Amino acid sequence: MNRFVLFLVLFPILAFGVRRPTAAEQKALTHGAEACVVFRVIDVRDRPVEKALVEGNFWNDTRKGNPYSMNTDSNGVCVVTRTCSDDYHFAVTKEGYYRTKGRKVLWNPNFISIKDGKWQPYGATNTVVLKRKVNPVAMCVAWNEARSSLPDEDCLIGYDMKTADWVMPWGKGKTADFFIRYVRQVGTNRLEIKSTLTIAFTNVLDGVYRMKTDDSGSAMRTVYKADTNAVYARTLAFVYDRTAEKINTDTYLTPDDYLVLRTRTECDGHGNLKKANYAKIVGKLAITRENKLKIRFYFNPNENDPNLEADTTKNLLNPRDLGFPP
Amino acid sequence: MLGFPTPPTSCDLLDFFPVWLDLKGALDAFPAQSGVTFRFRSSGLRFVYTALTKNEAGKYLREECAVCGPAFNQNAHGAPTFAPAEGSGSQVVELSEAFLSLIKADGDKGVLLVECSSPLASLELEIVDPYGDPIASRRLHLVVSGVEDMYSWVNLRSSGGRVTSVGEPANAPNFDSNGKNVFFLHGFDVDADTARAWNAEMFKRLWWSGSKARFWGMTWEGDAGSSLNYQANAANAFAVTSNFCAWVGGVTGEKIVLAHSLGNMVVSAAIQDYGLSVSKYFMLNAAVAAECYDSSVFNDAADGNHMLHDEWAGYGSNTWCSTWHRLFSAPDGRAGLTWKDRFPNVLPVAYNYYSSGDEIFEIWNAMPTAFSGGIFHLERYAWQKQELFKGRGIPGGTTWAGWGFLRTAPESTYEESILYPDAAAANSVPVTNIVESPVFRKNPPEMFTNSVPSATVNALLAKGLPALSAAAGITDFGTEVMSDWDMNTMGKPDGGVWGRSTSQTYEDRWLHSDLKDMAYFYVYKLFDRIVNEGGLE
Repeated sequence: MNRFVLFLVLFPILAFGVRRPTAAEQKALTHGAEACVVFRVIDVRDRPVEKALVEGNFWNDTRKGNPYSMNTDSNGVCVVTRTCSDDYHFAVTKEGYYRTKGRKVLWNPNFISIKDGKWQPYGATNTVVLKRKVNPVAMCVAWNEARSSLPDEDCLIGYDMKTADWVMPWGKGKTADFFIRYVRQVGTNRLEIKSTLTIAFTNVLDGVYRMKTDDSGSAMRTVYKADTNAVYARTLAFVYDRTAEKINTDTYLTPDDYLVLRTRTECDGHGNLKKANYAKIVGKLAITRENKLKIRFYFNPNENDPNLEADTTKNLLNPRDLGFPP
Repeated sequence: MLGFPTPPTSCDLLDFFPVWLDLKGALDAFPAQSGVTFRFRSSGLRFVYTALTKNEAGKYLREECAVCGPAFNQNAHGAPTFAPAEGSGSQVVELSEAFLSLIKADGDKGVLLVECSSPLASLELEIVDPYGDPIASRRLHLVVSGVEDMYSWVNLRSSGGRVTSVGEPANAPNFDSNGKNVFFLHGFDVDADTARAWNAEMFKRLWWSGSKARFWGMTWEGDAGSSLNYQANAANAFAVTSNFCAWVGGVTGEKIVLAHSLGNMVVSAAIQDYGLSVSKYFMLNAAVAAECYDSSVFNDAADGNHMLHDEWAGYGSNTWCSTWHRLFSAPDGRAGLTWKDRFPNVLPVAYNYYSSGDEIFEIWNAMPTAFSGGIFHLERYAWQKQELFKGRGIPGGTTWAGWGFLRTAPESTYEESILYPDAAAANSVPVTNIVESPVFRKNPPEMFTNSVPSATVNALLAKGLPALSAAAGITDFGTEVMSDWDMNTMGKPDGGVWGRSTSQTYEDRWLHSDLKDMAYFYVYKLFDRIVNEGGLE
């Protein structure tokens, strides 16, 4: 019986899309209602982080909203109570950790979000994970998108991450960390496109694997270290296939993707890995319509060091190109 | 030492320029005990001391450099200025001992930041003996004028505003011009005076980022009515397009166009409808539906669609105004009543500089009301509101088609009885009926003939056809479609500095008009990129 009633309640919502706010909710959305949030700040091992600075603003029907700024206690907790009419944002920082930030919307179409004039669930815990700064190293970083012109289509061309350029004779690069091949076909409509970008590796133990970035809101969005035991693929192809009206396939990197690379490998006489460099390509690997390579990468120049945590105060490629996340 | 002690703010720094005093040789020749004085004779100028070297003289515009002020320990914005005492003609002010000592220790130092406050400004450096007799002097040749004398101006308004001036600007910095032309068109709700401020800022910022192109400031009537009249001004944008095209098209030389917000409707239409040829087109926070450029983002899903008015939930998409065009084929003019693929010709030349933090284009997770965002922040979700309010007959909306419902009474009386009483009734209507008696509001009458003039189509789009996509100004189209750049994630200075803190209402987002409202100190990367990508240097 209860399940039947639940079904009847849910069905109108599902059949007719997102529900409208109730009168009480609408009043709260317009003029605000009291919200209580319990911030619980932990590290990646679930240990509380004391004296973390939690600051932000609760959106409100005023010019300045409702800002807040407080430190967590020994349990990593702080409680914020403010009037709020829409959403709140937060940023958590502490020396020795990467900042984590985020935003939460208080109105939820899936349940009644106001009770007794207060946002529900009142006192909900917002668990925020702070990631430590472990051992950031200076890297060759192309953050503002190294944009070398693609010398040619449909052939493999080597790219050197240490110089952010194609290898000779196409550029000034000396050692190919990977090879790129790009093919694009355009139909009668300029949005009828099929393109394939292949990244390939020639050294036996060079390769790449693909990951999703951390979505917790931390500035540290990738793994700290490359997995030296992972399976590194020798080729990886990205496909974009669409008509004027619809995208059929798009496997190119999104801002939430990254690649981990192992390059410049050398083996001993038994085929064991002797030397390698590690790198990551984050969120962008594409060819523009002007045929330029658009790429954001971090290359660790230290041999046999799988560390992928970049020192954000240094850029061995271009000292003036900073502002990148770790 | 009197004058103008008020420190410049970070927004004022654009108006200062660095001057290096090469005085080491003279200071070696005339040490302190010689009694010789080094001084300025000047008028209409104020100065800021710095400990910058000549090679880093421009650093103050982009970085905190706490080497300014009398003690060389303050940032440029915030360091007190100094100037001769006010009086008729030029007056003198001695350079400080501390400043001269800096130069004596390092001849590369000796940089002052200078601002002009009078077209008659003059500056002469004097070295005088203990008796006040001149030993040597050197005058800095200055040509000073208001910033508007440095660029051309085109007024597309029907009345009011600064008069069009397209001759060679009186004081254009064209000594090393590259022969290119860069045009800027502002957005919605910018009146004639504010347009002048917009263009002045854009000119200065481009110039400081190295642009050597001739700048053309433009203004158009995108502020008709009140701030709630977006749709009517979108119609104005179409109306002014031919005039815009004539002006820009008539200029010889390479043309690069920049437009902000609704100004992009003008430029996009000029390229699409009038064949305006530009080498590059920078869309800045474009207030144009994304589906105009890429129809794959057109969203006619019935579920989870935040561009669907909630009173239309349950109504099949074939009953919506935004999809009505599918019932017709060319040459029936009604087939063109859609934003989909409205501006495809823009793609080869466009650069979409958007902001993922744009508050105007932010989409709320449900149906907003006119007051969503609060009365002090009605701008929040504005894009979503203005599209959803089309046809609703409420403030911020229109009475044309859109998400209004067809009533049984004529439009002039608009009685409360809806023709199709509910979604089930509407969904069961044969297609042929919907052609003549659509589910949506049947207004204006011109929409319901098979021959709709193009000017009417544009007005209908602006006022009566809701977009079913977000604005281009918050959309990443993807590299294969258009060159995109997110100002919010890529455009801020290194180290996370920003002119708005995390604790503020909009935290550290790059907002809709921050390219102008935020000091150049924070947004210089955007202008560097425009200059670089646009080939303006």
